[in-house]
Amino acid sequence: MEEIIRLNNIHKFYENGKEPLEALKGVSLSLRRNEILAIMGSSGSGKSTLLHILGAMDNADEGEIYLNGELKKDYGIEPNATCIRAESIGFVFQDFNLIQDFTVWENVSLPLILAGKSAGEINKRTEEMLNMVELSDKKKNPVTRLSGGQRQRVAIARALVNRPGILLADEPTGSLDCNTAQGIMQLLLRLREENGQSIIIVTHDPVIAGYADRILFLQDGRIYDEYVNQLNDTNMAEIMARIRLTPNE
Amino acid sequence: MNDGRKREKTMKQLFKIALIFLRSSKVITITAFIGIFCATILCAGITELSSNAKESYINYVKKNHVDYDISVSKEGSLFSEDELEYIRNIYGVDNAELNDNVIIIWCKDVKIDSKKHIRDVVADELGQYDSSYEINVESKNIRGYENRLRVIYTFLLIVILFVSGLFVISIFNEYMSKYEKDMAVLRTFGGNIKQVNMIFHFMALVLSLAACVAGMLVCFAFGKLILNAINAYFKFSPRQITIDVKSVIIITIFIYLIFNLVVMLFFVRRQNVLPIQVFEVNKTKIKNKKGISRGLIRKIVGTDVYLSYKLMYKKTRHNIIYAIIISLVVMFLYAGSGILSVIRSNMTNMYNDTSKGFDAYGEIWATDYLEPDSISGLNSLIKESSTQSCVLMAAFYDSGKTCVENGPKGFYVTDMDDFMSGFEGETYDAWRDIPKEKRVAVTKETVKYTGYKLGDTITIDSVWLKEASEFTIVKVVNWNNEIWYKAGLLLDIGNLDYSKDKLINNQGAERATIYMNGEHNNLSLVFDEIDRKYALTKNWSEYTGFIREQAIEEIDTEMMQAFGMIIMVLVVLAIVAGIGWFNGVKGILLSRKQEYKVLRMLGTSPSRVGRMCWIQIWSFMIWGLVIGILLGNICLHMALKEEINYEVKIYWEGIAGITLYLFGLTLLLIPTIKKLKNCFS
Repeated sequence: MEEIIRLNNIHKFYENGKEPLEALKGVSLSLRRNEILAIMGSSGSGKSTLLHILGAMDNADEGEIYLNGELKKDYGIEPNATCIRAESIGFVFQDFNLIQDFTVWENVSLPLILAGKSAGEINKRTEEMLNMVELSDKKKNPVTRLSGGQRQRVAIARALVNRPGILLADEPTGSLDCNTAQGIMQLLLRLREENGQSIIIVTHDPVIAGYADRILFLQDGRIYDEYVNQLNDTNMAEIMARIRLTPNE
Repeated sequence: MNDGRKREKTMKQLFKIALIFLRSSKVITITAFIGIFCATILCAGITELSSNAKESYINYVKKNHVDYDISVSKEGSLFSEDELEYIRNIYGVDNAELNDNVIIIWCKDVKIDSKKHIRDVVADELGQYDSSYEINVESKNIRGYENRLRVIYTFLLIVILFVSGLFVISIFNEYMSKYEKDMAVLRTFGGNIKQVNMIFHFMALVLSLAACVAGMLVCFAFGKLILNAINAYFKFSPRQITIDVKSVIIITIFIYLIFNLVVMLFFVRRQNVLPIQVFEVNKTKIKNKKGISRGLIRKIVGTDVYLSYKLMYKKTRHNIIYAIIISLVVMFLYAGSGILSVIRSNMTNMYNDTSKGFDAYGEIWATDYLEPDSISGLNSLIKESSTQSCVLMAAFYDSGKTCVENGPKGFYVTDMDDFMSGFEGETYDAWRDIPKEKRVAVTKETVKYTGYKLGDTITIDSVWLKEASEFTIVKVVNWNNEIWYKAGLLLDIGNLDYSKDKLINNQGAERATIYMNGEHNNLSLVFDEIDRKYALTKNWSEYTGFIREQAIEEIDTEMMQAFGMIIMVLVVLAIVAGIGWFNGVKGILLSRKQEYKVLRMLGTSPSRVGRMCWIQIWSFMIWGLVIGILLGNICLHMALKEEINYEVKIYWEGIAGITLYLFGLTLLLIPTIKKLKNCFS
């Protein structure tokens, strides 16, 4: 399958007193088109740093990033980072990060507005996305009147309205109950089928990770383990054990 | 689609987002609107007031040699076209400003005429048409008035712009704080810094445009009515206040530009939201300051105060500006009222000192000299007037000769009978037994340097006297502003020698001063007569005179006008600052809703939670007031320096008014506090 993004030997350092703290110690990964990748790990393992780098919100200190087969030296550096976020990446957050003062329609159409699309295109694609997430009837509602699951669906619609190649989901079901969480995951799977996006999910929930094609386990800034289509009772128990090590997460 | 059109469409959408943000932050937006709206009205209002007041006098400056203006009005009615035509025919277009409510006539080349004469002539001329005219004749120090007006106007304009600028900074701080995360979301979804900045630009543009236009429209609609009501009380202008559409539009545009410049310079350029901020839950950075133990602070201030301050810390940075604005308003009120009261005392004292307790004072300076004859004539002139008491004094010097050995070199001449009763000081018991030509009075300064005593006899010789004679000291006057050796003696005018040939080398008196008591009208007539004489006598370089009470009244009116403008501006600013402060404090309380819940869960009583809320509310208010008074005091001392000895009258009523107003606003927070106290019910 075609590789959509590849990270080669990524290092990231932070200032921490006299000694720099190395948050990522040579992480390499690749994501193929239409693939769902789950990233798991305990607190301080480097998940967030990796997510920031993948999302072009931060730049790596060392290493290479290939997007659609092309080496991007300025992947996390402005102003190219803004273009990458606008064109290639969609975000879904645990706490939705919807603009409270906007309606459902306004929230979903926001990336198109920022990309300078025409009014016709904005209307057409927003309508399409709302249909996909089954929220057309609520398009004029302020987001504050929606339930948690509905809000996350709005967030997903917003993330995909620009038709990005990659969807980054940071604990997308963290604020939802089990049933709603499963509904959201089913929706992501369906949208992946319909739109062909690749999805990276950062999660602590092995059940959610179970939806992924591959699971990367991060520990101490390194990829510690990888499970490919092998999620069974044994490795599930292993993952659960690792999660239990960090009960606060 | 080309780039230009694409950008234009994006701008439209960003503009819509800005409108949504404005609409959804109703309280902040309304507060900002009121702030800019009030600033526009205030600036336009004081511009119109001062330009109207100035306009009444500026025409004098344009037309030199004009001493009087005559305003003609009809009580309760306007002039008809026919009347205006009639007056125009009499005075000509160039010499009169014709309005429908008042006519100002400039009197050219009428310096020798008295006010009463002018009034009578005008009354005669106009009376043929209508006897109900009210005619008022005034002469003014135009340039002084204009300068003082300009200073006050500029000062107030700066105060308004500064305070409202701070207000706008505070409001946009709130907007930025509220929308920071939303902006990070925008950045996450491909929005660039320019687009984010543009949203704030649009917010500022739309908000200030709406507020400025609303302020301008209110000025047009009600400005005349309000300003005339204010003018009726403070008497800024003798005429009806009119609104100049052009100047109001200009001032509105000016304010609009200033506010947008403030927003651009202070905020938009500093706005640099990173997309990564979307992950930040709580940005509060509370630095643990080393050195002072928290326990110690808690012991000193008490647990409630300590907790209250901890709870309000997060939003203090955003809301501190309201406390600063309150401080500034109080500071300006305190320092302004103090400075004006000192200026008033200063000028009143100056008039009292100069007139030495008499009702009126006049002073004539010569370009060359004043002949003894003209001094004598002047003395006769004021003696013949119907005033109760008149004293003329003229100072003579002996061109280097000593008139008294080791004593003063010059002397004043006066009427020694009038002088003895007119001025305060120590008097020789037997002064009446000494003929008035043989009496001499000395100043305290002269006594200090010569050691003279009452009853001493001194010999005075001068070319201006008929002969060297002995004089008895009959009075020591308490003057402290005379130079003892130049003019430390006062003799009777009858001692002067009028022989002309002495003038060739010895010149004459440098100046003559006149002191008078009596009715104001009579005093005016005397001044008019002297004025006439002044015009005829070419070697008089300068003549000034004032009636003390009238002069003090004029000072009072001017101070009242200045104070009126200051009060008007500060009251509105205080109201606006109060609204901002109210919103800020409410925001602080509500932002800690969760923490109050936790405190209640931990067993804190509702009354204790309430107490913490009130500590937070009143902290801002008390700090604002106390710092304002302190700053006002510092400003007052810096402005007055040595003049602080004069009576300083602080407008405590105004400060009490602001305190009460803020206190009243805090009462509106009772429902919010109740909600926080009873968060479980």
